Amino acid sequence: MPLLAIETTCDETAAAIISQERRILSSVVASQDELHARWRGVVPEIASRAHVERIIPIIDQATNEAGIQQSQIEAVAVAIRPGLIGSLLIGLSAAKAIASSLQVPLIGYDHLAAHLYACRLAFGEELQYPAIGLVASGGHTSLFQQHSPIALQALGGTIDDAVGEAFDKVASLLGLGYPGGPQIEQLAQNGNPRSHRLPRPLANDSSRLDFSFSGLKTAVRYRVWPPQAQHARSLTDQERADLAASFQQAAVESVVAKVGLAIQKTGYRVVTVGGGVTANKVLRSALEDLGKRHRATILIPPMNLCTDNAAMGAIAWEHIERNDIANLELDARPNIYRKKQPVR
Amino acid sequence: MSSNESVESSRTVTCEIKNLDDLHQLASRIVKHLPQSALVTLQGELGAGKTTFVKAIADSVEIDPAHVTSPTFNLITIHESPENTIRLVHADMYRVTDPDELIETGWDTALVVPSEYRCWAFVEWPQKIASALPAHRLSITLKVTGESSRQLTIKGTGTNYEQIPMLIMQSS
Repeated sequence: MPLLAIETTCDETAAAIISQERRILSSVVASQDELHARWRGVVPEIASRAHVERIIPIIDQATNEAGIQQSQIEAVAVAIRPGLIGSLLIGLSAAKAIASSLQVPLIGYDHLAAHLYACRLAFGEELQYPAIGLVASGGHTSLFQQHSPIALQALGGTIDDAVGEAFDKVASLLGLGYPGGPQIEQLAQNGNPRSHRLPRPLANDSSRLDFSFSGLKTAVRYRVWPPQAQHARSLTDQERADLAASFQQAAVESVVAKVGLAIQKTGYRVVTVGGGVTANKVLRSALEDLGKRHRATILIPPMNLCTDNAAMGAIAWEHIERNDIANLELDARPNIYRKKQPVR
Repeated sequence: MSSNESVESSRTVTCEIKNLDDLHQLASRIVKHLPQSALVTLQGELGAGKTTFVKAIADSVEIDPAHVTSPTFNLITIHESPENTIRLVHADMYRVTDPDELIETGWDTALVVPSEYRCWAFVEWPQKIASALPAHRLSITLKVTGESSRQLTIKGTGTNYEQIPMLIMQSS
């Protein structure tokens, strides 16, 4: 019998039904992008309120689409970290209520490990451990090494902005809407990625696997609004496209450089990738090229498994198979853990 | 700006910093004069260096600045100094549109600390929650003056803060 997975870490309210064979029987995602578009970013209060309104209908829809009754659910899984605390607590409360009323096991899983586990759903046994994991999204830019699906060891992460956050903020500087990623990608198609020499902070520092995007964002700001000027310049369409293309190129190269370095340092030849920024086609193809150069297998799931979803909550089966079951004391943890393992 | 601010007395100083070294030097002077429990707001455009400023503060109290990342996504992050004597609350109101949304950040619980602690809250984009902010605070405004240079305006409002701008300028 299948499990119900619930995901409310940030924008998306999502629920999925997954069998122990890791077959996705249903996967429902209600995106809040439209609500947030007005604010050029995720608005947490709106996020929480929308989660409250949507969580039960979404769960009902997931069970209906899977063709099962709630009573057939064998376990309830929920993403408990990291994310917005208000949003996390709504998913967690729903999961606890359902698990305790059905008297089935409750499992708390890590949202980032689940993003990487989406590769198991998309590629099955092609995913062999140890592996390197890259999560690139609006809230995260992190590299991990993994010896098992549920064990994450941080190799590095952003020291300032997440890459998706940089896309959103640069989009805002260029007068584009939210979410910024798709709009920058579209605008960049008409631009020359070599037109502006923008910084790639940390990208060439081979001593660490960390990322930095704040300096890149500021450099774009200087092009739009030079330091000594009183006002921002009004850019032509071509200037905006060139700037978007140059920014995208710098951001993608910064990410890819560290994945390459992680392959060299660990010697691992499997890279799992997750997070909404992998929707970016320039990043996808740059990662694929990197894989060819390093003879590494780069696993990038299809888009619907890269952005936030609950199907990746299939990782809960790994917890169940290891007898890692939670109780009703289970708590949400908003912050990302920062302890690093030394890389030999 | 909150309406009751005008009745509080305040002092303002302005300093020009040429580069990151200057910023770190200034940060180490500021932390010497912060009260045991302090509220500091940071205003400035995208790229003005608000998070970079908090990194410099963190560095001067031996919190790893690499761990001080933009709180835009999670709204609030909490850092503790090595001996757990200083709690640094780093908040970002960029995405907040209504002061009522502050409850989402866990802001109130973050500021409750044992009395032997020092607890300093640095709030980016305070203008988003202006009406919910106490008038007594240190308000820092960062202005871009060049590729690496910034002008910082430091304003102390209220009894515990009024003297701080002058003390910062006098100390070395």
